[in-house]
Amino acid sequence: MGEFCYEKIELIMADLEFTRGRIRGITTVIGDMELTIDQQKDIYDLSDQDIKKFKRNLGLVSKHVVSNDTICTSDLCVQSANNLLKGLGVSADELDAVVFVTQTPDYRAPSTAIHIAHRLGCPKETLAFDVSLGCSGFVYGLSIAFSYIESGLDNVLLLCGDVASSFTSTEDKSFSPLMGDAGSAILIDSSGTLKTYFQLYSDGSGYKSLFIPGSGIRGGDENCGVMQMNGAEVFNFTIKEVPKMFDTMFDFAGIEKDDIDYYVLHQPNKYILKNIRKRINVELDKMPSETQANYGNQNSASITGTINAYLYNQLNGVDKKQILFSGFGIGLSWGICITNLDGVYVPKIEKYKG
Amino acid sequence: MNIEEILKNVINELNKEWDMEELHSFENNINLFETVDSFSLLSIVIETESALENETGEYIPLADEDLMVAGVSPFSSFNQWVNFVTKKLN
Repeated sequence: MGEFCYEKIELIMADLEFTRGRIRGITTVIGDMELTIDQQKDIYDLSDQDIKKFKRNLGLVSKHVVSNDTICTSDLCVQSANNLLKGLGVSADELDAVVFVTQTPDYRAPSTAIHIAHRLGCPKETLAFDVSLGCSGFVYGLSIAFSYIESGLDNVLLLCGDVASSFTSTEDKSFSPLMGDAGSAILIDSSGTLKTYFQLYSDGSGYKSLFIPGSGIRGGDENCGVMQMNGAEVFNFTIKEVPKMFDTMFDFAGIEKDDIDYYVLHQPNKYILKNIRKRINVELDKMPSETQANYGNQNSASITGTINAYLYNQLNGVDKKQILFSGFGIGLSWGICITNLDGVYVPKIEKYKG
Repeated sequence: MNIEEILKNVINELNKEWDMEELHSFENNINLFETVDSFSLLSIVIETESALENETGEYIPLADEDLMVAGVSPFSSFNQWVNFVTKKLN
């Protein structure tokens, strides 16, 4: 009987390497309403014990959300994009592509990116589409942008974010208080000379760890439109898969851990980030971890939100800094990227102005 | 350093807030995984890490991929939790 020879199989990885792309700027707009964790007590019917747990376990201080349900993720992203293009002196005419990463589009159809391109004043020659991803979305979206640039495009506008308030419920005490609303804009152009690396992963066996029942065509689920989270499964996934990514990436890129100036990770909560940071042995000042505690979990805008909230002083206009990005969450889906920020435009995070 | 005593103190202190009858006086074979919710288990982990850091002067991350998995979680009994933490310290 023939036996399958496992030793000969080489694991195929989604390894990507680019040279032509360069991040020119990053902007983030957050919801216009700040809610402290104490102010959320009545909204979510939290007990004093719940509040204490949130403060002690996760260090929760506040979150920023949109003040009414007419404000969409696209509105936050359009403000971010206008700030970005103005700050860089780039016209919407020059954009070859608009890619919008979100779980909260304006409509299930058509792609919101197409209307965003129109709102920004892009020409018909600008390609535009949505990508449905959450916390890994910035890294995935960035890999799409770098791929387009490598293929010959010159300016790709990447938009990431969610108005998570639209898929949370006031009846949910464990998930809803954690979530914030934000939208980011990132311009990637073709002026790059240094290498950028990506490694991307997915595991659909965990699709119900975080999901919105009844949000698509497949029915049979209750709680339509409200995100459900199995906290234990998500916790296990994060602790198991995220730390492993780093060494694999360093091997692929041929880069040492200490060569990285900043580690900017998705911000699920301070505790998870502390655990990851200790396990990969990175100094505290290289890995910001306060975003979720002060702004809420911003989904695909959490990495860029962290840059605009906590690293704008260090990164705005700076000469070459090597940065590691890592996003992980719903799907399950996760990814990691090493790139360089050089002369990048990074203003301070801004509230939605309407 | 008496690890069992430290871990019991952590749970007792937390239970002053939780006021769970099952934890007022518990046996070493108590299944913590089935007794408290996952967010409270996280509280136990965080407070234990903090207590150990006070004792040793070093932060030792306790959460690993088995922590919240039914059947293999070290919270399957208090004794297993003690053994798990002891191994992490060694």
